[in-house]
Amino acid sequence: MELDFAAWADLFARSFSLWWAILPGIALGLAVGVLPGFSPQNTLIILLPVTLAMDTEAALAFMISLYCANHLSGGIPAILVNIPGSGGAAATCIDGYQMTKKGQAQQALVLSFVASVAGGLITSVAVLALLPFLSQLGLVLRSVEMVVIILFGLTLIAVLAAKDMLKGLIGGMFGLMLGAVGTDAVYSTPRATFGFLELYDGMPLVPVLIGLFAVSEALVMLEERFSGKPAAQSRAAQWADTLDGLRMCVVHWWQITWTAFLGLLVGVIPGAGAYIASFVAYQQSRLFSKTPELYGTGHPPGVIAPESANNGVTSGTLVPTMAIGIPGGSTAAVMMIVLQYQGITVGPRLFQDSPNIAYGVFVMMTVAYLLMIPMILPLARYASRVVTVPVHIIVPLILGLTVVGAFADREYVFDMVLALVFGIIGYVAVKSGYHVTSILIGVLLGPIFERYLLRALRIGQGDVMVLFSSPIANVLWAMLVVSIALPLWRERRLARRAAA
Amino acid sequence: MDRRAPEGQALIIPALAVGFTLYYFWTVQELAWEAKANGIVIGAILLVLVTILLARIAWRVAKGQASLRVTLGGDPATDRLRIWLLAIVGAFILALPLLGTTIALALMLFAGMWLLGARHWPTLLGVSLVTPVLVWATLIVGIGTRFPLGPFEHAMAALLGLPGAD
Repeated sequence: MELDFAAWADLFARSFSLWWAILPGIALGLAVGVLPGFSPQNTLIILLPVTLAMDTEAALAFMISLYCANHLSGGIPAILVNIPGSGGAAATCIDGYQMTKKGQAQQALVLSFVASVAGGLITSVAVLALLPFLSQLGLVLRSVEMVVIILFGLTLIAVLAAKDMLKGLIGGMFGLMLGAVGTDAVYSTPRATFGFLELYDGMPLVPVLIGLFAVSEALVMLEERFSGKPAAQSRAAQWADTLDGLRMCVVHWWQITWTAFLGLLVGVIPGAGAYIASFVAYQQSRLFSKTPELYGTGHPPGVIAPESANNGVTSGTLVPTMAIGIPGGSTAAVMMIVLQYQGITVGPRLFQDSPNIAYGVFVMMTVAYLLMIPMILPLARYASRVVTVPVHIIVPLILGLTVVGAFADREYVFDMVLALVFGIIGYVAVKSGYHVTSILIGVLLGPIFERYLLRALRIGQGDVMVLFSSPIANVLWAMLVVSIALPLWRERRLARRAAA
Repeated sequence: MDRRAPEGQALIIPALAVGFTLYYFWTVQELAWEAKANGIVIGAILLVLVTILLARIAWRVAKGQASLRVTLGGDPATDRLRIWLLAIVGAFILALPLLGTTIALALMLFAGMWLLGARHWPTLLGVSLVTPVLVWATLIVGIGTRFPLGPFEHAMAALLGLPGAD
C-alpha cells in the first residue's frame, strides 16, 4: 500500500504531535546510553510497564526516540573514558579516546553527535523512500516462504551474533522449542507446561526477555565491572571547540553519508546490529582512506565512521521487523513484543493492515533525529562531566526494577520467578558462549513459526515436501545452506593457512 | 596444571535444551499431528545439532585439546556474591505478598547495595527509599498495575484517599 502526499503529511504531523513522548525518550536515551552495560533493550525492558500502558503510537515514538538517542550517547563514555556505553560504540574508543588524550574531547563528542544524527536522518529518509517496495513483500510471501525466512533469520543471527555458529544454532533452536510451550492452536491441549496454568498461553515474552538480557547482564556486570573505573572528567568546555567539531563534520560529509548507508545495509540483516556495523564501517573507512596510518591516533574519520554506521543501523534494524516480522536485533525484538502486546502483529501484512504503524515508525525516527539536533550540541559541552554510576548501585537497581517489570505485563508473581530462572539461563549462556539474542529470537518466533508451519503443512496435506514447492522458498533454502556453509568453509581455509 | 581448555560449561545449555526437548516429546506423544508437528521438527533439528556439538567436544577431548572441566570464569568471591544477590531477589519475590511492593523493593535494594559494598548512608537510603516510592507513584498509583499491596500502599491509600485502602 502506497501513501499519498496528504497521508505522509498527516504522519509527520502526528509524529511531531507526539513530542511529549519523543523528548523524554531522547533525554532518557541520552542519559542511560552513557552508562556502560545499559543497552537500549535493557532500558526499554525497565520501562516496559510505562510503554505497555501508553497507546501504541506514543509507546512507539517513546521507544524509537530512546533507541536512537541511546545509540548516539553510547559514544560519550567511549570517547571520554575509553569504555563504550554500548557494543556499537566499541569502535569509537579507538580514535575517540585518542582525541580526548590529545585534548580534543569536545571536538570528538561533536563529531560523534553530528555523525550519529546525520547518519540516522539519512538512513531513515532512505528507508522511507524504499518502503513502498518493501511493503510489496506481503503479496509474495506466503506461509511456505515465511517458514524458510524464519529459519534463515535464525541462521543469520546464529552466524553473525554468536562467535560459534553451532552454539548460535543450538541457542536459536532451544528458543524455538521454548516458544512451542503452551496449548496448541487446534485442540488447545497443553504441551510442556510443567503443570503451570501460567504457561498455557505460551512462554510469556516479557519475563523471558527480562531474564535473558537484564538479569543475566546484571550478573555479568557484577563480575566484569566490580573493580570500577575512573569517573569521566571534564576536560574541555569551550564553544570554540564545538564549532571546530562542526567544521570537521562539514569537511567529512561524504564519510558520514557512505558509512551511514553501510550501517543501514548491515542493520537490515537480522542479528548483525550496531556492533558489527561500526567495526565494518571503521575497517572500510580505513581501507579507503588516503591516510590509513593516522587511524588509531585520534583521527576524526575514525570517530565519524563507526558513529554514523552505528546510527544508520537504527532504521535498518527495523526494516526486517516491519517488513517480514523478523526482528533485526534485540531492541527491535523488544519493540515487537510491545507491538504484539498492543495487538499489532508485525510482518508482511502490517503495511496493508496498519500502514500508520508500518510507515509511522520510520517517520517517528526521522522526527526524533530532527528533535535531537537542538538537544545534543549543548550536551557536547557538558557531557564530559557525566560520571559513571558505580556497580554497587546499578546492579541492585537493574535487578529490582526489571523483576518488578516482569510482573507488570500479566500481573503474575510467577513471571518474576520465570525472569529469575531465565536470568540464570541467560547468565550461563553468556558465560559459556551461547548468545542470548538467538535464544530470545527463537522464543519470540516460536509461535509464529508454528503458525506458518502448520498452515504450510495443511496446504501440502501433511507432506513436508511442500516446504520445497515454491521457487522463492527454494532460493531462500539455498541461501540458508550457503549462509551455514560459507563461514564453515572460510574457517577451515583460515585454519589450513594458519597450519601451513 | 591442566592446560586443556575447559569445555564442560558448553554442555549446560545443550543439556537443558535436550532435557526440555525430551520432556516436550513425552507431553505430546499422544496428541494429534497438528499439535506436535512443530515441536518434533524443531526438536529433531536441535537433537542433531547437539549431537554434532557432542562429537566436536569429544574429538577435542580425545586429541587432548580440551577437558570436560566446568567453569563459568568467575572467581569464587564474586560467585558467592552472585548467589547471595539471587537469594536476595528470591527473598524479595517471597516477601512481596507479605510486605507489599514498596517495602519489599526498598529492603531488596538496600540489601543488594549493602551486599555489594555500598556503605555511604545517604546513597543507601536515598536509592532504596526514592526508587520504591517512584515505582509506587508511577506503576501502582499512576498506571494502576495490580502489584501486591502491603502496609505502605494501604497507609498511603488511606492517607491520600486513593483506591486500595482496604
